[in-house]
Amino acid sequence: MLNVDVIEGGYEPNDARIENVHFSVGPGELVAMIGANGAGKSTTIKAIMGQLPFFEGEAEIKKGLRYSFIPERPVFYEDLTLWEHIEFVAAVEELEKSEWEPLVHSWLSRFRLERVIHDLPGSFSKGMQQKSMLILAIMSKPSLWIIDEPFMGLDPSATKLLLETLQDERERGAGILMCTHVLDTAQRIADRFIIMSSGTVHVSGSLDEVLEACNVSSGTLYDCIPEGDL
Amino acid sequence: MQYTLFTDRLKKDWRYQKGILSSVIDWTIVLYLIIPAIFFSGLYYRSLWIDPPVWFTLINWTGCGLLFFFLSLSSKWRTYLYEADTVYLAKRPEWIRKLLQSGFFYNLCTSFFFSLVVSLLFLPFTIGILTLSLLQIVLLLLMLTIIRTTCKLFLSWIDFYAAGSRNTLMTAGFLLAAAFGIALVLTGITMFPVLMILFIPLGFWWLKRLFNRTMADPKWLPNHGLQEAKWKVRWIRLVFTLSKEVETPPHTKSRKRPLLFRKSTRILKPITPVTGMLELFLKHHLRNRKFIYYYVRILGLIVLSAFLIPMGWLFAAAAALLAAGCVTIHKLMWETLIDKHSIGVKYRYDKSYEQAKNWTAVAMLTPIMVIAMVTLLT
Repeated sequence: MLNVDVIEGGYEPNDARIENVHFSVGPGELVAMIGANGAGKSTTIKAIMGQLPFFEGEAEIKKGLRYSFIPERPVFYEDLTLWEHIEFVAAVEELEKSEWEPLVHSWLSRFRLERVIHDLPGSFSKGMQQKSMLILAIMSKPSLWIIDEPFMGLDPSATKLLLETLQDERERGAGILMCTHVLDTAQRIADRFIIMSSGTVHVSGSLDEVLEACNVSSGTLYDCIPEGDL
Repeated sequence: MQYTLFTDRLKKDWRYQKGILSSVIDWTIVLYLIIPAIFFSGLYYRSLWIDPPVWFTLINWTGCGLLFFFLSLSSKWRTYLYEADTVYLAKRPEWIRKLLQSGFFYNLCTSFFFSLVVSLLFLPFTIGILTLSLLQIVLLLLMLTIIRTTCKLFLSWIDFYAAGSRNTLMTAGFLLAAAFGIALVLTGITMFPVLMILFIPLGFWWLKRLFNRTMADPKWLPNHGLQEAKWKVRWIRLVFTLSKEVETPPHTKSRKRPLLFRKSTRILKPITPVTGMLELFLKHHLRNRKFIYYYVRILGLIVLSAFLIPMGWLFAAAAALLAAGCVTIHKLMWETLIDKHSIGVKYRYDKSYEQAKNWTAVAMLTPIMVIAMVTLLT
């Protein structure tokens, strides 16, 4: 679904922010990308999304694959209401109204956003914005999710809902790439881990492989973060 | 101390804005664009003095005043109060009062300078055609200063005071009243200049009183900080808009619901990828009219060129240049929504995007082409 082979990439020429980043995400797999601030997680995501100005290598989402991207900071069209965002996604993704409308209404109700569908998302709280982004992602039933810091700003019940949704999506066969700082949650739900440090992959693999590579077989992911990054 | 604080902030802001402008305007632009533009404009201005053109006689005096009035609307009131002042200067209200007073004086000075430039530019007309006396010109300058300062003050305050339809109604009411007022003032200056002298101190007194009742009210202090923060980055925002590699910076809307299509009413049916793209384009730009203003200015310029440029080939060149400007604006309008937006970026290679772009390009270029063709053929 997603193959990433970054040789190097950055925001200015001759100033590589990420180097030698290689990984893939398969169907039904949840891959957690973790690391300290500035480790290169968001830059890698930008490379995947084709938003990195200077880039060498390949970071390709399989052609024709439907995917959803949730950035770290919720972003909306500042002059479109929540419902207009939903209709826009439905239109450009060519979704069947009979399918997306009930799905969207059920999510709006679960997130208690029904009363604000004709409001501008810019006036929402951070949590409401995050929930709105999730609805926009869920409604197209993507085969691949790319999520940057999904738990930021969510209240406990919404976090629980998100975790359940991610589980449902995996069972449906969707691949998920998730960047996060919440290590204990990542450890609990992810199939594989990519620990980034100083713009490159420090260690990657399943939990056991990662812990073994870090010589902390009985420890946690926290023990795998390089000393200098803590 | 308080005055030093104000001047320090003023200098800091100027240095900041200079830094931004110098990052985009290098010596080549100064040498090849700005200096020639000043030189040729100077020659043209000189020719207006020596041989006033025939179309001067067609200019409507009140219309000129209204033009100045509408130009005044684009400027904002500067206080140089920061968001942090609500915390760090909270125990020093006299400092805040002095900063606000300095801000009042500063805004008055900038308005005076702007009015002076406009008055100087209009001198060939006011002296050559209207034959105004020196007294009348000075009166005009002072009146223009009062009008511009009032516009800045009132329209900046109204953003704090009222939102939504109330804001629109109050703004419209003010604009109508002010437009009527300026028409009266201009008539007064030409017909009863001595009487109008009395209105100058009255105008300044009223302005000061209006200031104390509006912007100087302590309850607006946090709003000043937010407004300043927004105003400070106006050039950066413009540079970002023009830059291909930078994502559109998000800006928070103060209102909860849009004024147009409040219930998310659809403009285009049925829902298809192309109508989805067009709906996004239309609603976004109808509600946020920044680019529409640029487009309307281009239309205004081409109409003006049709009247002012006598030679056909020169008009054709001007029309081509304006059409190129329109194409650039159209490109920016779409880039803001798709190529440089986190939601839209994944659709940047979609066929529907290309089709929607073609539709809007045709819609925006058609009026320019029609005006150009009609002018050239007649």
